[in-house]
Amino acid sequence: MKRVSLYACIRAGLFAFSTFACLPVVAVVVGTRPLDADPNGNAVNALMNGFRFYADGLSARFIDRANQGIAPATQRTWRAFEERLRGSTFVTLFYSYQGNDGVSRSRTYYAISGSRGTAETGPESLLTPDLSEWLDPWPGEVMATAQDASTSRVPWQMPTVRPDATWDLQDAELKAIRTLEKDLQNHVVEKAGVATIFVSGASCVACSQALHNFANVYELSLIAKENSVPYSQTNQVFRARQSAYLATVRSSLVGRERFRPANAPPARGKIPAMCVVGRPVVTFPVAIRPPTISTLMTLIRAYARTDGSAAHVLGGNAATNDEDYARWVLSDPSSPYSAFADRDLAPMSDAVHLAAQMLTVDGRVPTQRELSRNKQRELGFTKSRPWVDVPDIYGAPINTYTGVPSHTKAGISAGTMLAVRDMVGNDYPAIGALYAVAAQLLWEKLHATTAAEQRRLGLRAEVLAGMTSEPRTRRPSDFDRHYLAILLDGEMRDWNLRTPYRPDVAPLPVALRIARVAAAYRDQQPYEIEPCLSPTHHNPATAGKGGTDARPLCFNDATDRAVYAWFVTELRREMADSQPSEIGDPHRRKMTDPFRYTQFDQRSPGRPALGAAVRKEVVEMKIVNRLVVDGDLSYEASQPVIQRAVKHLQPAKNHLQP
Amino acid sequence: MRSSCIVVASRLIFTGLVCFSGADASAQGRRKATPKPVPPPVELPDPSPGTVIEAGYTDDIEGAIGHRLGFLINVYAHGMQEFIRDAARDHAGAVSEASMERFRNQLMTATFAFFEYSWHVGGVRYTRIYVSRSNHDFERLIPPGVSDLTAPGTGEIDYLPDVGVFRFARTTVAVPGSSVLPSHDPRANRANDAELKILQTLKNDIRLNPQMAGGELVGFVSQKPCVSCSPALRRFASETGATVRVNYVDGEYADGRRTPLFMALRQDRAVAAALLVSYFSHAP
Repeated sequence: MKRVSLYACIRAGLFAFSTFACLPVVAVVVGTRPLDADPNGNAVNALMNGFRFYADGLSARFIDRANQGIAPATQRTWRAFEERLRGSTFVTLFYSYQGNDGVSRSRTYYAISGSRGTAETGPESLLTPDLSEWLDPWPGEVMATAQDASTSRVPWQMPTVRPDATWDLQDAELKAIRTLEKDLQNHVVEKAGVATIFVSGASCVACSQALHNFANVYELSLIAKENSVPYSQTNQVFRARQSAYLATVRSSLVGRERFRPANAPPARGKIPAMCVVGRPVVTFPVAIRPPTISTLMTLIRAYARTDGSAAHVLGGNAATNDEDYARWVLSDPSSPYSAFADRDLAPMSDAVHLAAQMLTVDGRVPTQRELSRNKQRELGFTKSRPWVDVPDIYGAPINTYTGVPSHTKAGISAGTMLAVRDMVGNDYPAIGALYAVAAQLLWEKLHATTAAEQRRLGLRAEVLAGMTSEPRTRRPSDFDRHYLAILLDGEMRDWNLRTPYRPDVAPLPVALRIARVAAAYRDQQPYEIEPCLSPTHHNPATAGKGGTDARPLCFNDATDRAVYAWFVTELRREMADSQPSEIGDPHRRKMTDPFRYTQFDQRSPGRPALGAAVRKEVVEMKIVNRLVVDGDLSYEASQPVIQRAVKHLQPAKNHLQP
Repeated sequence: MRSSCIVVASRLIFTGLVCFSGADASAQGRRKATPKPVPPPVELPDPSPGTVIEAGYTDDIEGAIGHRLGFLINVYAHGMQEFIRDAARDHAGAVSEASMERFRNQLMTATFAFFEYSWHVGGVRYTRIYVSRSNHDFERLIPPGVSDLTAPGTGEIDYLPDVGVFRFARTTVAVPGSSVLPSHDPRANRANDAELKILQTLKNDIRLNPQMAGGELVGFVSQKPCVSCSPALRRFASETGATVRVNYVDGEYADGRRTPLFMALRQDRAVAAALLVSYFSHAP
């Protein structure tokens, strides 16, 4: 009896101790985590919420102020606006807490960084006092502002000696926590909650210090998630969506007749000023496509916006067919090794001016010569000479290996190249190129989307894992190969220059990437007679000259379109039924079957001619199709362009005549 | 006594009705056709919504929808081209504009559906592709009395890819015991809808190979599933235990509804149709 009572007393004592001793203690957790992979898209969504909270209102204000004549919308003011939104730090602070009534609640604070102006000039004009009138917070959302109340217990500790220290209160992180602090002091929210802060960039030292101070003073858990890793998935997706948002706003402003006021002077003959009627065309969800990086597409878009039609590609002064353009670009268009012809460029037209403005990067406007060179690159007139046309990204001794320059120019990762070679074999460089580029494109698509989106849209990461994972967890299935074939077929129908996986590699169209990878695979095999004199020059005596000349090309010194012509011939040879093979015909059939019903198979009459895929007329058709999608051209305006391209895509002979 | 009165009265009424209707028919000088018995609409079970996700997209994300449907449109265009070539072989090769327009119209307006069905057996994932389009087979696009084309005796299926992972759902095949059936719609015959053809073909495959049940179906359709296909999708999910997601192109050719994804697909259709027509009118 006594023992039982003793146990009961001990238990009661322990219970009382655990209850009363633990109550006042609140765990203060302060942590910082860089945002890297974002499988479900939650981090990107949080960052985009913060961005759009301000961008929606600021865009609307930009347009309304221009309409009222307060601040005209020009290329210069737009650029400043765009740079401001790109360069600002956006903070989304979720604060969840338990109210006095025991109910869990949350509140979200959005902050944008201000300008670090001087004490005399004050912060920049963008964040004027009327900003809050343009924002549209939902219940529970708060616009965080700079708080310099003397009651603040979050001191600004660094740097104290700088003359602009006062304006450091404009840092987004500090705005967010000081606004939260005000709510804590006013009992709008309660202490001891959990604060999760998403920061669109890397936090400065002073901000990190302030976050720690804040968490300690108010006894709350605080986790700062910073978008500080440059090539992380979170950063890539967030920046792409930010760009897509700004491009959408801008496309509703720049040079569109439909947005021009009825009493405005005609825009033709001069660079169209930004016409600002109505609100920006930004709906939710914002367009996912990032703005194009294709010079050719931007040029044709600029002409379409200037002319209001597809006249530029059909019959304008600059309109030429593929052969004419090749004669203008190359000194000897019949040779695969031709140098560029030395040409004077025509005076810059308004459309070219507009295109240059649209391709501005970090405030730098490309020159007319650069635009012309980029256009020639996209149409396949450049070569793959190491140190001349392609950067040296591997260094010695790898950069001297044959095949490396073509592989580098194609923008394919070395791991993908090797994995596909293992799968396809050495005998089929053209077929291997199809799979390698498809796998690389899949990698790029997966990298640009979150795991949740991938599941929803059938972007299959397991297909890539089956090919490239080390160690191999599974072998590629029939479906995997068909999946890649359909993916590549679709990319060939579009005109979509993708940002390369390395920033130092210039983008290349899909068709030319395939050709370059095929050349790289072929270069890895020995030649009976070496076609190149050096890594940058062909041997005139031994190098093939294309066309009916069956000798191998010196790929480094050949133009992309010459390599593409070789690829088409090589692919037909590899896909032919009676191809003898050291590894057996069933393997070849397994590799070629998925492409049988795509545009890469040429056996069926009427199948679009693969060889015409890089012709200027066909490329222009793909671009015009995209412009119709974007609303820059009408469906009717695209029809003559399609009809013109079809003449080159359709085989020259068929069995039936009308 | 009471029952005999009722019998007499009913006979009188029946006789009167017969006389009245006969007089009416003779007055019009023709015999009135006997109306076909119209079966009552089948009451099909409709599981609670939520078993199927239908998501409309106005813009494409990384070509996930457009590339699949564009591929399918081109496969059908190629099949049509081969079919027309065979159908015109005995007619000196000339194909009339009217005939071409019937096929071209199919490419421009038909609903195209591309479904991927995945299931696991022993920890290994298998995936198969089911594709279809709405409306009738190629043979039905050559109406009786047409002089420039003759049905070649081969079917549509002979002109479509014959590869292991592909299933071309050509016609609807009701699966015994399954309620994956078209719903009654007085405005249209829903039996030829692309989604329904696929669901019934897939359901039949699952019936023959029960290991396929409980998989994951991801569909890509060129327009929003109709009032008949939506419940059929839910019934399919309910019967097979599959999770179903359908991503469809949200948009149409009307003011304010020309969404980017819809227009992208329309351009794909236009190019495929132009290639088809060009093949039969292109001079060497």
